[in-house]
Amino acid sequence: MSFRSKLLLALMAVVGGVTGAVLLAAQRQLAVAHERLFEQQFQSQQALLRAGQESRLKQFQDKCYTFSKLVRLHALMRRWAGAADSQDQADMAVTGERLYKTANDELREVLDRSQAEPGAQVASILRIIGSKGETIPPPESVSAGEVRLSREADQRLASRLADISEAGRTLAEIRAGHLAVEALGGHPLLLEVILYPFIDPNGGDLLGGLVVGFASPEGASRSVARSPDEPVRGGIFLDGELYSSTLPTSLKPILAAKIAGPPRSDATFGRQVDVPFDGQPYRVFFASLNSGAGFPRSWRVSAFPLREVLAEEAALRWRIGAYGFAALAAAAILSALLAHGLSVPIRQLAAATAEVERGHLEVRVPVTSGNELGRLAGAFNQMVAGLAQRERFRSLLNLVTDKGIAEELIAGRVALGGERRDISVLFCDIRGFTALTQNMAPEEVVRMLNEHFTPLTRVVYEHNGVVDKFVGDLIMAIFGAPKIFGHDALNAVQCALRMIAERQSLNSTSRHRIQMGIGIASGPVLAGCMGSNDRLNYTVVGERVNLASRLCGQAGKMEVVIDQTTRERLGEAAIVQTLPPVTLKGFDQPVQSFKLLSIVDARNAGKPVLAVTAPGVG
Amino acid sequence: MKPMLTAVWAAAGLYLAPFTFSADAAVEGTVKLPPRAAAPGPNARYKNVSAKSVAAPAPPLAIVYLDGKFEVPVVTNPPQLYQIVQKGFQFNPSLLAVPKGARVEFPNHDGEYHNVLSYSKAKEFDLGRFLSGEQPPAVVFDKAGVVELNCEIHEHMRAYILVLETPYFTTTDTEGRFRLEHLPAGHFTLKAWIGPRTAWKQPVDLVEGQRLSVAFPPP
Repeated sequence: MSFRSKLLLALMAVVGGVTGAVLLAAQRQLAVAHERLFEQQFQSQQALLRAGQESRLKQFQDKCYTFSKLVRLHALMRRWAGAADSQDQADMAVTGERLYKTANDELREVLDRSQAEPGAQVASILRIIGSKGETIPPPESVSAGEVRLSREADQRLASRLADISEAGRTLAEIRAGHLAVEALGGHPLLLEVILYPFIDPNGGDLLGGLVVGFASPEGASRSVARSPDEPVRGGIFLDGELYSSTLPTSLKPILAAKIAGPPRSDATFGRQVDVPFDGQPYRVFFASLNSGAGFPRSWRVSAFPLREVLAEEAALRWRIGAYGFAALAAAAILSALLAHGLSVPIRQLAAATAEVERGHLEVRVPVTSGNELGRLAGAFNQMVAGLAQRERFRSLLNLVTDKGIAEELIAGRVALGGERRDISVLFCDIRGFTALTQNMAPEEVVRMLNEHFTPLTRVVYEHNGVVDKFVGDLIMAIFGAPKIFGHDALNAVQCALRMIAERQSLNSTSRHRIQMGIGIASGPVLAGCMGSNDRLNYTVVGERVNLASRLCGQAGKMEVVIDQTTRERLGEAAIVQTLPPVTLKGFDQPVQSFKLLSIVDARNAGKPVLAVTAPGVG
Repeated sequence: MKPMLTAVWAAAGLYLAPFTFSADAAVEGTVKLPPRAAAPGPNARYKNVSAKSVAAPAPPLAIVYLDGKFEVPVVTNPPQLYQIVQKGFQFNPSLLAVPKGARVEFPNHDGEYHNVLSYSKAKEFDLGRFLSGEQPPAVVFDKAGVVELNCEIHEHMRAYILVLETPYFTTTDTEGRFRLEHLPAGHFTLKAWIGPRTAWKQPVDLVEGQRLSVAFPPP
């Protein structure tokens, strides 16, 4: 994967991650804010409804309270208790009628719509209960609230009131709560019910109580709305039944499941559920109402439309997504630019490196900046310059010394001070050089020597030899040092034959017809760098070198003379003519030498491959 | 007050005397009385009644009477007149036994309005509000039973009148002691009435010239 792609991927990952995180955080924050808003709305709605309830009931509170303190009422209640104790049915009926008549007298505004203030509520039910919680049956002739109940419904109400009375026996305080009754005709009715206890001022005994129930407006409320077209729906959930004109009955099982969970004594606000109805999502809140002791637990339920909230969330998502996309695009462009800024100099460097590899040391890369890449380019240029200089030195070394020796010197494989080596030494000089050159201009001599030496030097190289030195018209070549190739003696004599062939062909074209002689000797010598501390020369010294030089002097025109050792090393490959032993300068004993006639290929059984007299044959 | 009550009882005793010459059994004993109730605090509703002017409730007493069929007529002519006064924002006495047919007056001795009403089965009446000097007519109690008296203005005021069909009754002293004399011999039920929720009875065999000792509640 290219650097550019990696950079792009990294930037994309970072931008994507940040965008995602921002989206997540923003959404959560928004959700929390909405939650708080809903809660506040719900609380304020609760407070509003509570205030409405209080103001609605306030007009009755005083009247009912005053009624509950009436001495005559207490007297009648005591009479009722006595009659009930003795099961005096006639007296119970009389006392009951007296009680309800008294209530009708005293609570006219509560019971009679014609007496009530315009718009004010009228009690749906009114019941008086005895000290044991028993409902004193209202007589037919006297009003006991606007709502007529069936006998069964009346009995159910009585049993409920008995429970409520029993639960609050020791409290003796005004209690309120919700109760559901079934009116004649079967339609359920939610009542806000208040129980006023009758307390005997002498002794504090509980004599009974007054129960007044009003149709709860919340059961069918559309009262609190956020905006005209977005009504907040509300209702009361009681005994598994949902009383509301705005909430669908489909909410009932959901609420029942939510509320019926493990009983909790804590504040029950904050449990909510998202429900779709009428094709719209709603968030439903419900809170336990503060019902008096003995009353069944009731819940106020409110549903807030979620459409706006969801739209807001979607808009936020979209916006953050758009910003994220823009950031991604910017990141892509930025990464492309950055990668371009990096990759161009890097590609230039790579190309330059390839050039250097191919040997083009004159190549340079442009230094365009002062940053790391610029410094790298500068360092590269310096390195190439250094390489070029070294290459120049090497070329020069190759020129001034033998190529093979130069290589060995550079490779550090040449021991200073010399080492014993077994090699073959070849001397080749021009016959009659002095006579040949005495009438020549020096320039012509040099030209002639260059013409002579150049092909001969090539021949030496071709036979794995090393030109040790040129001395005047003489070439000294060594075979087997500094590098051993094997068959050094054979290489030396083949080289010699080839040199003669080369000169002969040169003689046919050159202005100068030159005759030369070659001597070859083989054996141990000392090879190495020798000379002064300031200047060293790779060369070989030893008795064999002298012998080769003397044998060169012995050779006739275009003849090759070899010593005994070389002859032995060549074996069957050489056809030689044994020369009579001669006494040579510097040698005590007469030296046995041989004139080389030809070299035969051992594989071709004596067929000469090279011969002194067969010029041009390779 | 005390001399007047004594006078009323004395009158009752004198009145009974001619019919009891042949009966000379007697019962005496004690009734265990409930503890004395604390004085009620002034109710905030009575704006012109201070705590000081509300008298302590009368000490609890009990009425002891002999129940049975007697030849002696209970209703006299003219009917006997009794009084329960309202003084210190209390009924006094707060417990009164009267023979059937007796008349009771309810004079107001306080400087405030009072009311006397009863929703009791034995006698229902409502005298309305009256001040001291605006004496309402006496009420005739012609049906035996317990009559609970209330003052509609002052809810703490409560009194009971026990309308009896027997001529043999008495009220204990504050210690619960009682004595009934000149009783006929025979088998009767002796009853003690302390309050609407507390009444005791026990059978007694009265013997001429003998004094029986009885304690309530019966063992």
